[in-house]
Amino acid sequence: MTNQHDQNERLDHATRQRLARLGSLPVDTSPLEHKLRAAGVSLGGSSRHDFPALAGQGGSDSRRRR
Amino acid sequence: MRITGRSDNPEDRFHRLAWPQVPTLLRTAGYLTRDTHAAEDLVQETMIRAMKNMASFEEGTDIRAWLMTIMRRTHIDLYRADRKHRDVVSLDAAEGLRITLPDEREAGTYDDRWDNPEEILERFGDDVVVLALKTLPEEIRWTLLLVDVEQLGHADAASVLGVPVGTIKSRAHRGRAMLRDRLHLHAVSIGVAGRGQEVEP
Repeated sequence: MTNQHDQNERLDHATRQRLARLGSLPVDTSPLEHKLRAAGVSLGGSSRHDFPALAGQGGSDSRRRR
Repeated sequence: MRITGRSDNPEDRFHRLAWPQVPTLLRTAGYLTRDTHAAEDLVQETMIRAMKNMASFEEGTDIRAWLMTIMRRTHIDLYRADRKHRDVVSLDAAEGLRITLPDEREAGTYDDRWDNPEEILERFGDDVVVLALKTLPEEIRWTLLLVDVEQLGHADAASVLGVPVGTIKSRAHRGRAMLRDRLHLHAVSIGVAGRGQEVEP
């Protein structure tokens, strides 16, 4: 019973870890940025607000072997 | 992401707090919607609503949870009422996941197909995991996106989805089991595992 519980916990944890990696996949926000500008959503102030997630997140890790 | 203590006008707060979350919103929207254009439309409308309502954001709370709440409502408004735009990806539409689903596994049932889960899960590409995620029921998918993908706390996820924390925990646990079932069946469908067997390299 304990082994079964431990195995289920391990399964759950491993799945959470695998899903967490999807949260670091890079996204291309450029088309959306154009849409937002067109819709009148200002980028604010005198300088452009960069998207921190655009810089080098997870790209090299995004393809995995089967 | 808890934000504390600065006072500025709503427009400045929008640019300081909400704007940097666009990649997170766009990524989540991409997992919720059928294609990139639908995801961009969803985030665009979300950001417009956020900008208009920025004064109602409560400092000290998680800006991601606030934005996700707006995006969830926007998603419902834009898509759920229109059956033509249902965003749950059918198995027929999900290339590479042409599989027949069994009855859902009871959460907590021992699953002996995954004796080495960390290694097995590594064998599935991100694209396959995303497609499997997109086949899950919407409430389960939202839960996994908030709790596991974007790492929101259970209480914040419960607030976004309007359910008790216990429901979030049980949905997350059940959703992970459902995701593994999808992945296993995908492995069966491409011939790298048999039913009831561990995935082979």
